Amino acid sequence: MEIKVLKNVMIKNDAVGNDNRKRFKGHKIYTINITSSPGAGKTTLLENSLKYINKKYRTAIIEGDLYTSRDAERLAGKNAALVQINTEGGCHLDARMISGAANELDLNDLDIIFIENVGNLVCPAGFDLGENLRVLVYSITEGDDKPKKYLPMFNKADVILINKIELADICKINLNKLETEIREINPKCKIFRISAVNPDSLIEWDTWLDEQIGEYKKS
Amino acid sequence: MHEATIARYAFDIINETIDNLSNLKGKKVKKIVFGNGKPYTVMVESFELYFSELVKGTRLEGAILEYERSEQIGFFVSTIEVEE
Ligand SMILES: Nc1nc2c(ncn2[C@@H]2O[C@H](COP(=O)(O)OP(=O)(O)O)[C@@H](O)[C@H]2O)c(=O)[nH]1
Ligand SMILES: [Mg+2]
Repeated sequence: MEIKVLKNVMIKNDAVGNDNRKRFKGHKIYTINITSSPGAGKTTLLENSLKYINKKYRTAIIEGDLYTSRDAERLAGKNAALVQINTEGGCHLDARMISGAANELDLNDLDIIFIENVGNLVCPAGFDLGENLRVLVYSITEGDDKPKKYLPMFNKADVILINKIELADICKINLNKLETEIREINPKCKIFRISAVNPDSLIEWDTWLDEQIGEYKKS
Repeated sequence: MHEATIARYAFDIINETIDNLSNLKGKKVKKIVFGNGKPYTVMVESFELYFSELVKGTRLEGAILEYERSEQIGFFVSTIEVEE
């Protein structure tokens, strides 16, 4: 006897992702999923954006890493609650891992959760975590030809932070060409040019994020 | 490595589908057809490595696994064939 099922396996992840979103909404917590390839600057961004964001909001960070807690150690003492997820080889975080990590946080005492995803420019694209905002940090040292090569990561992002722009000349990168290609794939996303090592370059992004959080808290 | 997660999700969907059909209690699964779509194409070898671990000792053990190309985005459980 044959049974027609025709179900996308990702419905399993999406269902938990939606539950996470509802749960966080119940506590008015805004969640940000930060993705990128390894070394693009996610942790550096967090280190420096927290200086601004933490003045106003109670923050937690869920750190995704294959095996170590190195990034969590870098972020310790920044006045944010930390939960480490080690995926033991897994190439992305999924919605169930976030649900588990959230159990370790006091959700009544938080305004924002940053999630640093596992460094990978392919797999995290398919996995909704229940976030409100998906950020892709793209380091220009990876070249200006990558958006179409790694299309899902670029077209699933709400915000693309083009990072390490002070190295554009050395790396022979045409930033306008890069932005044009991103726009072709994802016309709606917000783009900021940053140098995550330099907090001054983050002001525009920090202010915009602050506004998004403000709107969400009112809604 | 996302095949590990996908194998788990597929395993759960198949079992839930069978559990929801009371006339299939205790029946063995003979064949499962998956739809493998774009652009998150699943590596079949890697998927089977994880899937074969999950099915050990269950009614899915020994089922023939087949794959068809899908034009839709994603990885699908398309059909399940259960013994009469
Ligand atoms: N030159 C330069 N280096 C940066 C910038 N942002 C991050 N880095 C460096 O890139 C490396 C990887 O950064 P990290 O934040 O650990 O990346 P992650 O793996 O995405 O978390 C570190 O050595 C950072 O100091 C930047 O804007 N300019
Ligand atoms: Mg990091």
